[in-house]
Amino acid sequence: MLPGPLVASPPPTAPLSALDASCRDLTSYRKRPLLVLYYPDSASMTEDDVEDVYARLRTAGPTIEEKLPALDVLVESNGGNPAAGYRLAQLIRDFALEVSFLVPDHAYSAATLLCFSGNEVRLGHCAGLSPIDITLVSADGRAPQEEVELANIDNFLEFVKDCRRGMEQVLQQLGCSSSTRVDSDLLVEMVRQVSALHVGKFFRERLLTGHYAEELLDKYMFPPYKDAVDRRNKVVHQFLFAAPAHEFHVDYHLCLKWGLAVQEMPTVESDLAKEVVAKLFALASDCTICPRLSRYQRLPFYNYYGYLSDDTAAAGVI
Amino acid sequence: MEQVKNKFTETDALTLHRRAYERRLHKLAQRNDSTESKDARGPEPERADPDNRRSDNTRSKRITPPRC
Repeated sequence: MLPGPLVASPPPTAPLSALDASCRDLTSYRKRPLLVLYYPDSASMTEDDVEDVYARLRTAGPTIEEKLPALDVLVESNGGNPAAGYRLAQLIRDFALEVSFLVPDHAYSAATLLCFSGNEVRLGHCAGLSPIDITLVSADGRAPQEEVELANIDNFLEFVKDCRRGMEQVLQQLGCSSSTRVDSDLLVEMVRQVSALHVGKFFRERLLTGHYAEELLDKYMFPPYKDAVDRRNKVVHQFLFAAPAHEFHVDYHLCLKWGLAVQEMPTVESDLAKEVVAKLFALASDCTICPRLSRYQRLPFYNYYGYLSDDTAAAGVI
Repeated sequence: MEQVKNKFTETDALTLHRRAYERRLHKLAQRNDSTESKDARGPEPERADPDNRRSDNTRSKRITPPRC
């Protein structure tokens, strides 16, 4: 006969119970339902997400005809395809009249664009957004060394101008009448390295991202503001052009300065939201959620948590 | 009934997550199939380009998806 265990093993728990509890704590605090959009590091926002989020919302009950009066959307993401960010934004707004985006840690790039569709963005302590300029990567997203940031091209163009100015100054000081071709040589080299098609695509995609941002800000975030158009122009300009690099953390203070409708979460709310992300991270780390789709990509995790008021819960209504 | 729909058990969340995973894998497989069938047909015939002056950049580089 095999000996039994000396210490009784703990009763088995459901895999998502800890996450579920943290989300319930957050919905109880905020008194509204919660949609969680969690993208671990190697999960990029893609247009395929739209169908999955739609399915999740439909299973939850609300419809386009019977929207939720209010909804919190917790986002944790490094971004992805800007078209996906825009489509997710419109989808979520189709299901809720008032939306607050909760960002416990970061919602970068396409996720920042998504947040532009909120009535407000609520940032956890030390959390932030990012610029919405674009980066081109290899088709399978696997080679960071092949990434080219539009911010790099912008800065290179500034560098070209500085070079020309500097060279002309030197030539003038030396009393030379000849001119310099340093700018055209540098531009030719840049186009040779990045390729003419990519340079064109960069600028076209930036226009597109700016257009998406305008649409979302005009329709959802800024209608209550008297200076809506000025604010929108400022936000789009700052998030598209003002950052020195694509990898730039736009924290609460910068968001406020750049004109976004943003709030810093109170400590309790920030702690609760960060706890949800910590639980998601643990579940993704042990592969309970976010399985790998390929060597380079993982599935994001979405879930909806309805809000039950204390009165409803006490009455036994689910 | 509407209220019952709002109750989410963990099983529901994981089941839906698994369904999304299967759907996504299916999509990826379909895309791979369509790429492979294109590859099997071989390269598309070159358009009339008597001087063959197009650079390697325009011929071989794939237009990559934007990321932001």
